[in-house]
Amino acid sequence: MAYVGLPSFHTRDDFKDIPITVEIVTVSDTTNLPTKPKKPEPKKEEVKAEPEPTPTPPAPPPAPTGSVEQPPAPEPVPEPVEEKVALIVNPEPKPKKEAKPKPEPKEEPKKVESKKRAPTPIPPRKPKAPDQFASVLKTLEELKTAPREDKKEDDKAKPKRDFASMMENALESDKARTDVGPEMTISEIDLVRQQIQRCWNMPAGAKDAQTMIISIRLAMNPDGTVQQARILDQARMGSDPFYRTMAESALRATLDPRCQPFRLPLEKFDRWKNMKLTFDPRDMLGL
Amino acid sequence: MTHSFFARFTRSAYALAFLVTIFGVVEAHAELEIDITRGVAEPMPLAVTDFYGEGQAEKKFGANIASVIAADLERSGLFRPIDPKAFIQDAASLNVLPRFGDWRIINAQALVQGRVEMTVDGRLRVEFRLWDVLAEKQMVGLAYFTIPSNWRSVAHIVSDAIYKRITGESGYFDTRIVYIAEAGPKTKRVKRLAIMDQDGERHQFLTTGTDLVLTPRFSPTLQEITYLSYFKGVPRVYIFNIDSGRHEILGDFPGMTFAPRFSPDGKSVIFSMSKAGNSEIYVMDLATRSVRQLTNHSAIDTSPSMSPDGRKVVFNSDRSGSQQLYVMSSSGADPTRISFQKGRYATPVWSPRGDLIAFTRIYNGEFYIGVMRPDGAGERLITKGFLVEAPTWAPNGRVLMFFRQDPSDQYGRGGKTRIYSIDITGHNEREVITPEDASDPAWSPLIHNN
Repeated sequence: MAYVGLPSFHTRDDFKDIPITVEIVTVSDTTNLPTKPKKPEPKKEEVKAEPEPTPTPPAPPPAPTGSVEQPPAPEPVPEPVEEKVALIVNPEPKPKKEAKPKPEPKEEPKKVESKKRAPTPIPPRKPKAPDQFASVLKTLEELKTAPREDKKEDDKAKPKRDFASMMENALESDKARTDVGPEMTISEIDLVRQQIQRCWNMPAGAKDAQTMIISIRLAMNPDGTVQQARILDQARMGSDPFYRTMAESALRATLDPRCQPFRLPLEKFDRWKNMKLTFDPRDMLGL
Repeated sequence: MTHSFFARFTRSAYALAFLVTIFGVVEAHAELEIDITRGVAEPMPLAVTDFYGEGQAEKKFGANIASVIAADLERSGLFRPIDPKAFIQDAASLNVLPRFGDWRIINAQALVQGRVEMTVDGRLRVEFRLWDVLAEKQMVGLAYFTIPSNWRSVAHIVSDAIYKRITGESGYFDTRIVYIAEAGPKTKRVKRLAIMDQDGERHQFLTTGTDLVLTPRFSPTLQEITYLSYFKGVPRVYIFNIDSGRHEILGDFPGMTFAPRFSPDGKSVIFSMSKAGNSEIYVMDLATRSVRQLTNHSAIDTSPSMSPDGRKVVFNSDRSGSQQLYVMSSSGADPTRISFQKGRYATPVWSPRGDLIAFTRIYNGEFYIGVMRPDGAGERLITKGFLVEAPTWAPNGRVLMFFRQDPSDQYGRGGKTRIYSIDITGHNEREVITPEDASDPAWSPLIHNN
């Protein structure tokens, strides 16, 4: 009985773990969304309205098609150069940052039809069986005996979300807000992830592809289309052509009309109107 | 004690409350973060439009150039040119400015557009632009002058510029392949040195076939080839300059000289030479003709290839009992075995990019072409066959060529031998069309240093 004090040690010890436990939980209390189609779940017979394609995201604001009206102003005419194989690089037209790939509502039916259906819950790409995802680098199976390099080193490079950086973020944040409504559920996030992954055509054989992790910040429109996309590491974009290649492939994935609009619940717009996508090719390269 | 308990408790409680607040804030403020760890590796759909020209001749050049570019890019396996029938915007209006919406609709991610003009002095001016359709901006735009008969080279140079801008690596389209053309029955095989563009065009024979020729290799810096030829029954290493057409003997060596290869700077040649039944590796300085011996071992050491920085040499040796790959310093020090899987390894070639070594592996009666990192890790076998051999790298280290021979029947018929290219990812294997049987390909550096 004299050991009333004992629990106090425990509380102290437990205390250390608490932040970590708390931090991981991004799953919301409302896990299963009625509105969202499920994961690839094998369709049972009890066909409810479930597999009904809520997907048809009709792209609310039919954006003005064609970018013809864009001012042809900075038309960069390449100045002729001298002899033979002379080359000139033009001043590029000012990057129009807000290149909005609009969900063209009048896309020709035949092709787009299949594309539109693409984002249904069932991974539609037949040829890409899940195991094929394991690595985009082919090796003949029979003799695949070579020891893989362990990934310890790489793990170090992985962007960590440790306690310290969380704190830092929190303290830096100047526009902290608390009124953004219900959280995104894992299945909602997964759905978008799958959409983008289908459009990420990564440069598989590029040198040191495994060291390139690309972050892209997105500003979204309420209809699930991308309003603006920006590659964060502009410095490396300018200095490392391989990085630029990888980054541009990621950027294209976010702008590709075939994979838009993202299937995101409108009522949680405040949650996703700003997004940060991190493209990490290592799994794909089998590293 | 109770006091301290409460003190601790309240302290923890405050701290806890603080943390909860912090994380609450973080969580609330944080933009939605999503990790994308999967993707696809598919050819990029792009539109290559006929280059615009005013006159008939210019139109013709424009169409030809566009078709060579489309074919180059398609063959790389990294691009999928869209059928021009699907194009909405015509060449004339495109010449003013692309309507990106028109190209997005047909799923083009990149757009190649250009213009051909004949200058008053009879030269051809070729200009092109590469547009990022989704980002709606120009990625690169260049112009070239050349004599009209050279239009094919310009097309390859443009392909290289596009490839480079999109993939981040230099291209390999403005290159040639030298190889051994073989004809005639097995017993009386005629072997000639032949050369062609990497796409099989502009093919020509360089030797007549009276002397046996073997193992042609390109200089990495010049349009020069080393090869082995039997002159009056004696094998010798020759250097052939493509531009001047001169053949020159590299040196007269006692014994048999094999497997010559240039150093990456093109200033020396590394080879193996066999004396009294034992083969060692040597390097010869081309300016001074001085020869240095790198290995000295009772086992057979052969097939040397230098790393692009010139510091190391990969070679094969049977010093461990079976034929395996070894890496040593270019002075010959510290030979270290790097291949450890079953079977024998042969013909190692260091990638010009430095990151991989290609090789032939023979196991269980089958031949494989594979790649591994210079420390031996990450071995991948990318193709196999009855006989696949002699990998050679594209100058950008992204694509390999090799030859494949089919088995012949009991009467010695068949045995078709052809050159193939393959991406280092192991995908996109394709035959390079040659007029007759072809073996031992060697890839040139970029011709015009574009």
